[in-house]
Amino acid sequence: MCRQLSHSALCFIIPSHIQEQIARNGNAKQRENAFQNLTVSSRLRGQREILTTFAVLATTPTGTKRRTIYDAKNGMTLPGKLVRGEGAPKSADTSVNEAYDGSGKTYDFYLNNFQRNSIDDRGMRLDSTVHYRKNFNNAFWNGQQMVYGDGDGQIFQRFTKSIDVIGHELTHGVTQYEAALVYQDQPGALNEHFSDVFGSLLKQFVKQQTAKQADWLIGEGLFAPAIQGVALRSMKAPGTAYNDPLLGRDPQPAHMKNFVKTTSDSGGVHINSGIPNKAFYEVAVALGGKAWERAGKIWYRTLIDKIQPLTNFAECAGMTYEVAGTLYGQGSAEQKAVKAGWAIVGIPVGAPLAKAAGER
Amino acid sequence: MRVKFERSGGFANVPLSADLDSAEMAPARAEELKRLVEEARPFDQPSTSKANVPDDLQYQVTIEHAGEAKTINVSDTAASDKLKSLLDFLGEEALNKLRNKA
Repeated sequence: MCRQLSHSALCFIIPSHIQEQIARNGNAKQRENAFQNLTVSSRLRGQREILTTFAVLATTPTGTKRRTIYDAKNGMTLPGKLVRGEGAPKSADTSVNEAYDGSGKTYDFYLNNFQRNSIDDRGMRLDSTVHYRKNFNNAFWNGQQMVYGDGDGQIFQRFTKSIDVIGHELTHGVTQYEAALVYQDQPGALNEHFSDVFGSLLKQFVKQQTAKQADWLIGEGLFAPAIQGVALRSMKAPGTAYNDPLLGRDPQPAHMKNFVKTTSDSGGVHINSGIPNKAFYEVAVALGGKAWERAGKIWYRTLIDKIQPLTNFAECAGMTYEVAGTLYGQGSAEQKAVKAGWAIVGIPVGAPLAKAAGER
Repeated sequence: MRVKFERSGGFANVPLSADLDSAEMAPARAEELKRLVEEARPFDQPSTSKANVPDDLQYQVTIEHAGEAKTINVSDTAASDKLKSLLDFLGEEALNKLRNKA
């Protein structure tokens, strides 16, 4: 693992008792690093209790936003040069400001609606690197920070352009801390699904839109002008976001009967996420109003309290149904809407959870 | 040198694949490919090398050169910087080839 990843937090070279000493006695930067290492390594070892010991030492007060933006200057080294810290004036660079504002809005979104204090719920600093590599057509969360490419200008424009991309990437961080969904097959597609849900809800929250007003698009405006498509994905109508002579068409299914079995894309994690995405959209529209208030709350509590590393679609559906019952009452309108939403995509809730081999 | 290139995944998951042949490339590009392969040493790479990173680009690349063939499955963040440079170059070539066909 250490040879494959360039980030030291995933390499456990320093024994944990020394990390604990640093977490107690080091300077602010050392404490943060040590705490992060302890957090990641203890989670991977399944020793969650260690977290409570150090939570007191390392928690940043709720409501304290800490953003740091770096510029890779089209190189490969992360994080790159520090270009804007929390509270610093606007940069002349649009990407820098978009990463700064977008991560700030994501922080506000999670705090205001779910009382969540940053990615780890302990006030973790939100680090972003822009201008990563040359013509790089991607954005990702590397376990510690967000990384954004400029796009090649022919297929994609810069990846900070669409705020739901920023919410999507930061939510991968939330999922990493809370559910650790394995990034393969159905659990991987759920990992993608939760990132699309909260990425879209972030955009709706910023625009103060109702479920009916929202476009439910992921990555709207990211395509270069020559590409025939409005976005990368549509939660409202999976499979319709683009249809271009060069790129082909949006491959997302909207129903279990069209579930795609593939070895590429980590088992179709960005493809089959269309199925739960559509279910969420149906739930949100059926409930009406602002989607983050009820549908979003049900999905958030499911991610935090229920989802396990290998949860599959049917299990996730059952969990959202259970959570809706806990939050709003058994037989409530919310719980009925959840059941109906999953039924539309061919996932019956309440049916036995037995599943065919290979469905995970 | 012949290269079978496939890319999937990434936030966008716009798949890209092409069969490339250095004999069909502009001479300067063919030279560039040769240099990048020499630096990235794909024949010495493990056949599978993946990082557990969401939205990581996923590559499957088969290179045939001087009577040897090698397939590597690698995710972008798991690749060395030199291999990343080769993958970026192959992605550009694959896209150019598609564009010429479209």
